[in-house]
Amino acid sequence: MSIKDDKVKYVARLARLKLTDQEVSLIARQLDGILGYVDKLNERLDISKDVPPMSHPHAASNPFREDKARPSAPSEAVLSNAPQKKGDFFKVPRIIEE
Amino acid sequence: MDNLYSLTANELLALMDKRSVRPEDIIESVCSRAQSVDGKVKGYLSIDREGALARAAAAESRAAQGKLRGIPVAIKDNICIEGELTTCASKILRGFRPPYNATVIEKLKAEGAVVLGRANMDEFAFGSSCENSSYFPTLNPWDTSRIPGGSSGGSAAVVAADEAVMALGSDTGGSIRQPAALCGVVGMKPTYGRVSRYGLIAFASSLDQIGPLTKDVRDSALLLGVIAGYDEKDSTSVNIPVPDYLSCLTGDIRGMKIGIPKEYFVDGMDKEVDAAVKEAIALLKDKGAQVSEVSLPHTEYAVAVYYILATAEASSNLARFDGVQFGHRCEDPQNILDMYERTRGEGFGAEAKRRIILGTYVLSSGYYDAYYLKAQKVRALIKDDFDRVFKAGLDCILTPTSPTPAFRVGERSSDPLSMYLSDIFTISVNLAGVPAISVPCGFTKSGLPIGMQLIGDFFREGKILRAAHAYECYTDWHKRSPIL
Repeated sequence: MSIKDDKVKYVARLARLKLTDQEVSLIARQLDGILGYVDKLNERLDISKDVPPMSHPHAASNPFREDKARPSAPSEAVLSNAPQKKGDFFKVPRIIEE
Repeated sequence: MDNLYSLTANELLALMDKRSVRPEDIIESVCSRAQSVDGKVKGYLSIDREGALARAAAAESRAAQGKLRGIPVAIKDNICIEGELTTCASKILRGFRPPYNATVIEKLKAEGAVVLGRANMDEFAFGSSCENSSYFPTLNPWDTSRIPGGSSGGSAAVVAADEAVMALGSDTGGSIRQPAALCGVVGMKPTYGRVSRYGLIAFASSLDQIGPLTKDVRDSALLLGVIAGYDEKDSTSVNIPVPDYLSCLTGDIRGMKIGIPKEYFVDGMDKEVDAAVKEAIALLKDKGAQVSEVSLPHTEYAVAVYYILATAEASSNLARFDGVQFGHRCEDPQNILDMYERTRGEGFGAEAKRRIILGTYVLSSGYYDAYYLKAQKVRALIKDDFDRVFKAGLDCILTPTSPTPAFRVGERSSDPLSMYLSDIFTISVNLAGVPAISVPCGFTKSGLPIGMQLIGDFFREGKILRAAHAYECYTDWHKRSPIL
């Protein structure tokens, strides 16, 4: 399967990742090699339908903690790394049009 | 007496018990060693000498009985330390100071260990050579024209160069064991769920584990015993008791059943690595181990499965780096989308971008079944391979850790696939979730370390520690040090 530049651009948009044109064509070329290698799963291995997909090494169960209020981290500490803040909030470019 | 910096934690603790050494002496010795050699190795992103001395003095009074009192430990740059720079060696996290400690840091502190500095790594643990750090590459202490392995290359290099007594790394596809092998130290990836991942900045959440890098197996057992255990803050940590790993070290291999998987002795493997590992197998057999050939038939698919699942999980985990709450934000964003795209484009390095694209691609509509779902099924088959041989009564599986010794700086950096294939012997272990340890088992003629890997069944770290320790008792590879 050959990966075209416009495919990489499309995926980069999904991933919210700005790439230069050089990066796009380099990654397209490298992904060709990697996916060519990965395709051996499809070419050489016949998997019967009854193999359950494995997402995790241990049997999945959802652990619950006691439903009891407890303090969360102080907002001062949480905001201390913010690139921009205003009062008790993270500040970002306008999202909703006026 | 040897220089303090060259001793193991267990040796230093014995000296402190006799009151012939104070924690401050150890910190001074290790810091001046780092000062004289780290210019060549570049294993540290930062060393906090003054802070370490102050913490050592405090540790002496506070944790007089601590299992690691006064022992300086290097911490990989992806493990959160409250108020200290934690950047995953990435530009996108430059300046980030976590508001909390990882659970492993709390556990180290409770036992009196002293955090000495931050170890370099491949950005976000993406790599096998430490060349993907956005700061500078770390070099192999045995030959500084070569890479130390990765992604925990800084952690392995500073332990090998006696710049730290022990270190913590993280292992997603071999990132503790491969650099341990290439630097001639001991590295362990515990069972998935054995050590809390709380405060480990996530790469691939179903594969990541924190583990020790140490000068010998006894120190590995000591450090694992401190960091292991259930943590309610990590819903994937498993609530079963932590055994006393030190008491597992009998110094004897007799009666242990060791399997040699034929799939791990492949064409194209380095001849000296092949010979060293086979010699180690013969030695263990001679000392009374029951050695048999076994088969792990799905081994050849492990790298392909890994690079689908690990990049898929990474692309999702790295979505949080968007310039909103922490780290880098681009200048003058036009709108929110522009902010996301430029922040990430500027902040991530080449390998991170490649993995985000690959991971997003295999999860995207139309490709999910062919790649992601298929890989999850083959992952189950790889785990079944291990379950089958351990159910048949094996105590451990012995393999080479890496198909080659340390390669040259730049040798594989332009070919991602050749870099990915350097993890061919370590990846299956993460996919299955089982524990494994790498120990030194020889040197090439040109003086590069060779490592072998011992793999155990789920939560049987004690068995692989016992086998690795017995091998250490019969050999002295682990006692050699690089000349710097």
